Amino acid sequence: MHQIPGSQRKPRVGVLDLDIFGPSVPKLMGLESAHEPRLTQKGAIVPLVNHALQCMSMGFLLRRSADGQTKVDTAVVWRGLMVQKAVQQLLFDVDWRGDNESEPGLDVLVIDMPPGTGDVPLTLGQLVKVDGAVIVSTPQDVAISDVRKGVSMFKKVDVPITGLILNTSHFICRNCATPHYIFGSPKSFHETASQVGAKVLGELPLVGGVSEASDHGVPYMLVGEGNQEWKGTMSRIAGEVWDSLH
Amino acid sequence: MIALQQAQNVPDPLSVPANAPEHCPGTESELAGKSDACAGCANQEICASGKARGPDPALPFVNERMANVKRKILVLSGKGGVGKSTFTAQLGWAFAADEELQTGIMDVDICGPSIPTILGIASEQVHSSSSGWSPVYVQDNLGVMSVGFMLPSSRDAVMWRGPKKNGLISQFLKDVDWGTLDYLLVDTPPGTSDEHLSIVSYLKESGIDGAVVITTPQEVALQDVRREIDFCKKVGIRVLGLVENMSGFVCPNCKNESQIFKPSTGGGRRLAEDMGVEFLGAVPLDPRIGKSADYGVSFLDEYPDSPATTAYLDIIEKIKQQLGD
Repeated sequence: MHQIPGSQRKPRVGVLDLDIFGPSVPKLMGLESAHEPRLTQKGAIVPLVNHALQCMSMGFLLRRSADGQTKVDTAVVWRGLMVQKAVQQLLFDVDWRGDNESEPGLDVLVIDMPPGTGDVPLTLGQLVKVDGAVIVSTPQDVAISDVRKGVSMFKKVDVPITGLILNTSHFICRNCATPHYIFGSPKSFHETASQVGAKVLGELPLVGGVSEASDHGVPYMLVGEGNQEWKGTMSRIAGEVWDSLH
Repeated sequence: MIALQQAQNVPDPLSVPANAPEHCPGTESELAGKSDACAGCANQEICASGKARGPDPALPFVNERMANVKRKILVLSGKGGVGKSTFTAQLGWAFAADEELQTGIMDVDICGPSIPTILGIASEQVHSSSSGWSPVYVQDNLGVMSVGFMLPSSRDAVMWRGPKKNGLISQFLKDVDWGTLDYLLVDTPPGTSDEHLSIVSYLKESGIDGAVVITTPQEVALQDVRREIDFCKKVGIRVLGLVENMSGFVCPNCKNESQIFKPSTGGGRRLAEDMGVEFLGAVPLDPRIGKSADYGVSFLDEYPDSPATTAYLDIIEKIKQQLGD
């Protein structure tokens, strides 16, 4: 984690999950069995905290069943209008200072977007000044064509593109250490990045531990040991994103 | 607190017109034409008079076209990136291998239409004739419709809100001259929103024969699958079964098997058991699948010896059995 220049303090970071239909943040941040979010005196929602990150997601707001267990398996079957409303509430009715109004707010809010170029990014682009967009892709052409669309969309709504990340770029066989480009070569990705004029922030290899840690609610960066290539790349990416915002 | 109502009734897709203002209550609602949001809308008078409440005029046309389609299968996933479109394409290729059968693929992923690329017809255009829009044919017995054919370039983003997407889906159903089809496969976007509700509503009368749900082994994907199966139950679609994609990787070099996406909670098999749906099979990771998709060729034809091909063909047999074919 980085230091803020000129101070000893680490950045205060929040994670906002705008994937209304498939909210993964509760699981990924180990907050699935957390209590329902509380409200501040003024009626704003208090984010839940884990791994030193403030988190908010549709997943925390789904109605619980009679025995108090979260109904994570219930489908949210909504049309665009209701999705817009939910996005507005998640953006504007959450108090990132937490319970205590005298606490300073966040330095950075990381927003997890749903796939596609529909209601959610449109609503976000129209209502909020977004400082940067990081677009994650996998190597195959079908994924990359959606990256192009994502870039077009962000240009249309005036959101600066911080850069592109290639995920699951290759897998190193544990036994014989041969790299395998399971989802195709990184060539298309790099070509696309230069065609659309976006910076390549990094390439993350396929590491089995990532999905395992995620399923257990622990971000892979915090797992002891772990794949050094993955962690090193991620650290570097974080640094570059931070620098681009300041 | 956020008033979160679990949608008990599936709202009608046709009730919000494309030119409606932001908070349109819907033409079917009791507030139609009378709510504050209606002020200034071109449809206000019609809604207020109650004339808007009535069956969608598109429905009879949809029913007419669909009367010539024997089986309609939806391919769903909860999460994006699990291989839904790739699977739909392989399913299409497999059905089309039988020259006696006519198959159609309808790609209703309007924001991210992948089907044209995967089938190698990305640069084709849609032509229209007096009998309607003509699907793009990959081979004589495999026709495809997708918004991907209608965009000037692959980098054009389709940034549409719900009502406009519904309009296009209705056109795919009523204006496309599919001819007589044995199978119509519908590739959907991830999630449970406008596109899914529209398809279900428009095909309510002509009937959907079933849905195939695709997942990958890890819990984060399975969560979304449970929601997807819940959606199917809510709207009355039969779930033909669950496919677990990216299930294991065999190193071509040393033949060591790795579980890259660990099924930490039992994977697709366990979920299928828990939710009472059929487990159709597990497809292992093969780098040649992605490559074939990028080149627009049939993986099943190119690499018949791959364990992934065997897995696909077994799954497809099971689907046919479930349908009673």
